[in-house]
Parts: sequence; C-alpha cells; structure tokens
Amino acid sequence: MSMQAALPIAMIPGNSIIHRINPLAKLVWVVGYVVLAFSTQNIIILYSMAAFALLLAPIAGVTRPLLKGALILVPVGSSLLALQIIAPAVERPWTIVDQLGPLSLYGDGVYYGFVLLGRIVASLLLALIMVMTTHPSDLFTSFAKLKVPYTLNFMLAMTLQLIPVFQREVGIIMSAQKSRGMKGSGFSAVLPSFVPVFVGAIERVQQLSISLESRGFGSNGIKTSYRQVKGRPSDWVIGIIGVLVVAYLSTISIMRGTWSLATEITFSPLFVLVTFLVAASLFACVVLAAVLFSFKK
Amino acid sequence: MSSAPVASAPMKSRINRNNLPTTLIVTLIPVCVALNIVGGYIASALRLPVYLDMIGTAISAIVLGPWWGALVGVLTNGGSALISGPVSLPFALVNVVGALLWGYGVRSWKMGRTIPRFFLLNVIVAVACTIVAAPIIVLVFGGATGNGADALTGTFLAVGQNLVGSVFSSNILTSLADKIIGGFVALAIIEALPKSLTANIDIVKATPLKGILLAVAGIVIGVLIIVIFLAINAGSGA
Repeated sequence: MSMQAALPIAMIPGNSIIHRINPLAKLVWVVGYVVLAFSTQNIIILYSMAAFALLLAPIAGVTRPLLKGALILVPVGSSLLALQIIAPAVERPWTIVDQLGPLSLYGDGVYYGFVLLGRIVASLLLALIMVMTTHPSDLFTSFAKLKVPYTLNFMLAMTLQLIPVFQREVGIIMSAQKSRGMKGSGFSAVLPSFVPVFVGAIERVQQLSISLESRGFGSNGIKTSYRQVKGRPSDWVIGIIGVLVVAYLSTISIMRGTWSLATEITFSPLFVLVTFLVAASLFACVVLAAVLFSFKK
Repeated sequence: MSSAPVASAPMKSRINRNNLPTTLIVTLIPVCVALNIVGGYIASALRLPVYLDMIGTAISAIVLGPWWGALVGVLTNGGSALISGPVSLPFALVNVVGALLWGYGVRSWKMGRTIPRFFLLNVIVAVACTIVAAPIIVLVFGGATGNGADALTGTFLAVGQNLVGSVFSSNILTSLADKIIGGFVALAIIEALPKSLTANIDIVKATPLKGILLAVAGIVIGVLIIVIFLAINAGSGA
C-alpha cells in the first residue's frame, strides 16, 4: 500500500518574492487573515481576501499544488452550503425563498453559508501558500525568535519530520502483514496494522532520547540554529501593512456588528434552488465516489 | 553557520513524576502527535468508517499523564494547521478533553481496571468529545464535516431537528464508534509497550476487538434509535 500521496502539503522549493519574505511576516498575515475572517461577515471582504491569496499563488509558483491542496474543501464546502440552506446557523426568523418537497430553502442560509465558506477558503488558501513557500526550519527558527520555548519548537519540528517516516513505515508493515495473509481492509486488520506501527515507533524513541541526552538537550545557555533567518526592512513593511490592514478592517467590522450584508444582498429563489441542488449533488457525488473507489480498491 | 548547541549546566529536574527522563517524554510526545495524524491515514487506508485519529492522544494521556496527553492534542491540531490550514485549530479543544478524560479516568479514577469500566470510560470520552465538537462544527463549518455523517445531519434537519441537535446526533454516532474502538486499540498498544513505560499504570490486559466491535455496534444502533426518536419528536413539536 502506498501512502506517499496522503499528505500532499509540503514546502515547494523556489526563489520567488513570496519565498524570500521572512516567515514571521508571512505568519502575521496568516494570523491576521484568520482574525479578520472570523470578525467579519462581509462577503466582499472575505472573497477579496481569498482572491488576494489566489493572486499570490502564481507569483510564488505554487498555483497547481495550491489548487490540489484546496480540493479538500470540496466535500466540506458543498456539504456546508447544502446544510446552511436548509438550516441556517443564524438567529430566527428565517426567510423561506423556495420549497423542495419537505425541505424549506432559506435565503438567510445562502448568505451565511457563503460567509462560512469564505472564511475557510480565505484562511486556508493563505495558510497553504505560507506552508508551501516557507522552509519548516526557517519557521521554527522564527518561532524561537518569538521566544517560543525550544522544547515546544523541537516537538513541533520533530512531528513534521516524523509524519513521512511513519507513512513509509505503515506501507512496509502493511505489505509485510499482507504477505502473511492479513486482510487489507476492515476491522480485522486494525490491530495487526496499528500495533506494530505504534509500538515500533515508540520503542525507537528510546534511542532518540539517549541521543538527545548525549547532546545536552535541556541544558541551559543560548540555543543556536543551523539556519539563520534575517528580517529585512521590506519584511517589516509587509508585516506592518498586514497588521494595519487587518486592524482597520476588523475594527470597522466589529463596530458595524460584523458588517453583514445579508439585508443588502438578496438571492432569487432560482439561485437558492440551484445552489442547493449543485451543493447537495456535489456532496453526494463525493461520498458516492469515495464509496465506489474503496470497493474498487 | 553556527555550531551545535553546547551542553552547559544540566536541567534541575531530568526525571519527572512518571520516573521517565525528560528527553524521553520530549521525544514520545511528537511520536504520539505524528501517530495521531498517521492513524487517520491508516484508518482511511483500511477503509474503516471511523477516524482513529486520537489513539496517540489516548496512549500519551494514559502512559504519561492527562496533561501530557492534552499537549499531544494541542500539538496534533497545531501540526495539522501547518499541513492543512488553520481551520482545524479549534478542534484542539476536543483532543484536550479526550486526553484529560482518558488520563484522569485511568490514572486517578481507576477506570482502566476492568474491561467494562474501560468501556464506560470510552463512552464518556465519546459523549464529552461530541459535546465539545458539535458547537465548533456549527460555528466554524456551519454543521458540515465533509464526510458521510453529513447526510445523516441533513436527514435530521429534514425531519425538523435544529442544526446543533442534528450535528450532535450524527456526531455522537461516529464519536462512539471512534472513541471506543480507538480506546481499545490504544489498550492493545499500551500492553505491547516496554514495561519501563507502563509499570506504574493500573490497567487491564487488552481484549480481542471482535467482542468490542459487537458491543459498539449494539450501542451505536441503540443510540441511533434514540436520536431518530428525539429528532421526530422535535420535528412534530416544532
């Protein structure tokens, strides 16, 4: 069993202007995006944020992997829109715009569904661009500069290194167990596949622990890093612009009570019906495809 | 390039309350975090209808202690955020709740002494995780999770249940199956770990999964009947 493609998100090497920006400046933008996305219900702002993130992708040369990574939004996005149209997560009263059999379709749900989707899309796209254009070591060196405890930094860095190692290990163990006659799917395969992977990984940790001990892990003194991350004036400018834009828009949104345009934007019954049908069909197709694919495998 | 860190004065306490060296804990935690993330992929590779992405949390909470388990939970969602975006971050709270219940349940409340008690602990973990997860799913994802359980949520909505109730009803079913099976897989793994790690834990020996799966199926069907009944009642009352 190959699990190489299970985690497609990783750094895409390059020398674009986005790659060269200091990780902290990028982090400021990502955090700012999340803060702004969750403090506003203005879909113009939310989808402008997503469009801006999409514009950065070709500059960074990561358009294809970004779109591939964003595919994870298809099932959750379609399901989210369909559920919101039949049961909006906003206070009543709701406006019924159409009826589909026993289901009432609500106009309020369309707007709020697009708000929720916009939040997720905008935050995810920019976060993925940051991950794809930042060397993990540079990110952790930057965390260290922010006075994040180096033990915590070490744990997070080691986690990211271990994931592909364990994925390879899973492939090897599953192949070995299958050659011994283990079923490749179902609950009967749970213990023969999980136990060797987990126990093997935890037992090997003891070696690593001794290695860390011998290198003086936990000792006092200044910690140094092989990779050096420097902050140029342009990085400061980018970071400060990010903070100012986010602070300005978030403040206005909060002052205007999330700045929702739900009353200004109305959706025609046909649009609501088509959106619901497309979202529900897309979700059904995704679920059906997953089921068929698992049987085919 | 700078040289590697040079050892100076050693840390004041290199051995913690678990009688395990700090370096061992520092390395065990990322392993449990990575195993949480990889566990989800093994489950999907085995085409299981459950996630099994909290087994690392359960192992660390039981073997190292509840708060180490909570750290594993936070780092799991922190690591996932670096891989697949920041929207998974709020679910760290679910992982933390699971870790605290597994940790205190086995280590302080002695709920790991017999199979029925451990089973009950996993049921409690499942219910608590759903109570925490349902509002997050509604607030962040509008009730959607992107998997087949959403069809169930839609069905509950169609019969008149409200959104939070529908998400809770569909989530409790997957959560029960996930946490009970995950808990017993963790039990099997803990039994296979070196004795130096598990010597101080009062926990029952692992049992074959077949009986547990039958019990899980019974519980899930029972809960399904209850939630359908509640949804229909809510629908006729609305």
